[in-house]
Amino acid sequence: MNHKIIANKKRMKKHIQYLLMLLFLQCSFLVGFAQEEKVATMQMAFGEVDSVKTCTVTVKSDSTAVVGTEVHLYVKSLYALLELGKAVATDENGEAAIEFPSDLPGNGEGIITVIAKIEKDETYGDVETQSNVKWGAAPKKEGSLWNSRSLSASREKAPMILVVASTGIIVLIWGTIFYVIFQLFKIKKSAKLIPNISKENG
Amino acid sequence: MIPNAHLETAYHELSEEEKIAHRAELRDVVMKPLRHTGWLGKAWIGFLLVVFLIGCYAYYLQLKNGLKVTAMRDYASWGLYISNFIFFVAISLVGALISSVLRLTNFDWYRPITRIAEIIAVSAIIFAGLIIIVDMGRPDRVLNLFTHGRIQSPIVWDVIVVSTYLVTSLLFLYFPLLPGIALCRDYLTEKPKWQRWLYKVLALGWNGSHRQWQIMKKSIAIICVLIIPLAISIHTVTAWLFATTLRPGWDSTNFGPYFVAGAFQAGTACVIIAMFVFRKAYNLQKYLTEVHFNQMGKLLVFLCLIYAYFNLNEYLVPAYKMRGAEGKLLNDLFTGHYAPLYWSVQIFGMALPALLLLWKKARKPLPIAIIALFVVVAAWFKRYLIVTPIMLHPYTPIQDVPSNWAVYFPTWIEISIVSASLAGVLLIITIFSKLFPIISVWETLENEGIELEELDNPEKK
Repeated sequence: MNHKIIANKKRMKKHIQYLLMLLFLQCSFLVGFAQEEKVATMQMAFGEVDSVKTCTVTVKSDSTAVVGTEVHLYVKSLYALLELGKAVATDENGEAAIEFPSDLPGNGEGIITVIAKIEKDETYGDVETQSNVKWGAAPKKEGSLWNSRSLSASREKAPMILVVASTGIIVLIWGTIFYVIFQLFKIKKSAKLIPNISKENG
Repeated sequence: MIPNAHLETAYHELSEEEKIAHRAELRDVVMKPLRHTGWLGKAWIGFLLVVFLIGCYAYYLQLKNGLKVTAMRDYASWGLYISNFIFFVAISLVGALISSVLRLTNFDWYRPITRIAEIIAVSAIIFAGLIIIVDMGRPDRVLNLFTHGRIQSPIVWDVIVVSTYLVTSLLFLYFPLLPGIALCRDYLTEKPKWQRWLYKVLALGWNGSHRQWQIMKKSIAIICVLIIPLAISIHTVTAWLFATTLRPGWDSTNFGPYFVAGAFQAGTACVIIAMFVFRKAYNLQKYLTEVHFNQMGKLLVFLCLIYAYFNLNEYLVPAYKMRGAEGKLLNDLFTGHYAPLYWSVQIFGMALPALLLLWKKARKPLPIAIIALFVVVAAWFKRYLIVTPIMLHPYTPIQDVPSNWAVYFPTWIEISIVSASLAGVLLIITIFSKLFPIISVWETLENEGIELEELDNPEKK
């Protein structure tokens, strides 16, 4: 019985050795034939083509133009990246020209941070570059809302019409109320002038 | 309705002595409840005090532990307290309706019930103000509403209009009460010293001179005119607290008149119940007659129909469109979780009362009081339906939050505090009716053609 178990264990060991050998051969084959990831560099240029703001991204690898690689263009917003249009493939010069919208707001000085990306490319992997351009639409001066009278402003900056109307109504109503309260004093005062007429009040 | 049509006796044909005797009779009837409180009255006051004190303890716990002791969370941040606030503001409008609108439109039959309406208005508005403070997480900062409030905020409008309406309602109660306080001062001499002192101070030396009558009547006339826009404002502004918020069910231009119509209906029902109770408890059958119940019944039918009209606008128009979040809310009200409560409120609080009260037999004191009770209870739940389901149906769906945020059921602390506020309103009305005549003698006599002013000042004739 014990002999049988020992023989089975020896057979199992052999099988495992074969399997490991196969695995090693397979890995060696894959590594040998796998494409080596190359390094690509990107450069951004901003210019106007037929009065249209255009961002041109040039992709090169070892000083050679990279052809047919998709380039995504983003602008940096407060919390995330905003993609501009669809990805554009590079041409025979390694250039991808992407139209830039003219109504994007920039920072206080109208500067926009533009990011170009090659994403999960088989040859080049993830490549990214960023650059600043003063193409942002003129932003409204920060704080201008707070300095103007509006419903959303602070109490000191309430709309004038609201201040005047509410104050007018409050003064009118409370003026009348105080006049009526004053009548109570007149009733009390008149009591001192005239003695009690009847005990049969109602 | 013909003013004074109910009068069986033409009092204006009475002799001077008969008028004086009639006045003495009325005076004795209204003074009787002030002289003596039976065991039932004491038990009633005791019961209200117990409920009130339990609510005070619950509020102490809320102050100590914060609003987490309530069921209010991020979504249902308004719950029972705000529902109760709208209910109190609603019933407070009845003072303006009964005492002012009917007075200015030359109806006279309402005269004996003016004081009941006014004291309901005052007590309800006092507790409306208090329940708002209860709803605040930091009540110690309530004064900030006045010192740091923005006039752009509907909450500040509400604070202004509630305090203005409270002062005006107090004046509207006080001026016609002056002769009544003088009556207490002169006749309730057996009362404790503090009570006699109270009458003396509050009577302002009233002696029934022609000058005093003149000032009093002029002041009442001014308040009469002043209180109507104020009453409409207070409930319209309360409606705007909701309507200026972008939420399904509240985003409506109909909300102001819808609230005002509902308020008149609920307030009138409250007065009918109070009339019935005072009539029975204080033996006022001769002055709160079946004619008054009959007239109030007709008024309630009219107000139920107006309110039904606004309800049609409020629910059927959006239901025709069933748009987005509003559609979900309406489905929840019509056929979903809130359907039993919604349909009970609409049927028992509006449709059935309007229908039943068309029959004269239903306008007899007991049946109309029962119907009015249904109207008031339904009116309270109606306010709950206006607040809670809408808080739980925001435009942005409720996602990824603890499960108890998506539902609301009040805790015992909220229920105790709200019960205490209701008890507080009843306590003010009860104690008032034990200190001052609940029927205005001079107004009731005027309704019967007897001018007290003329009796007190014969030279005026």
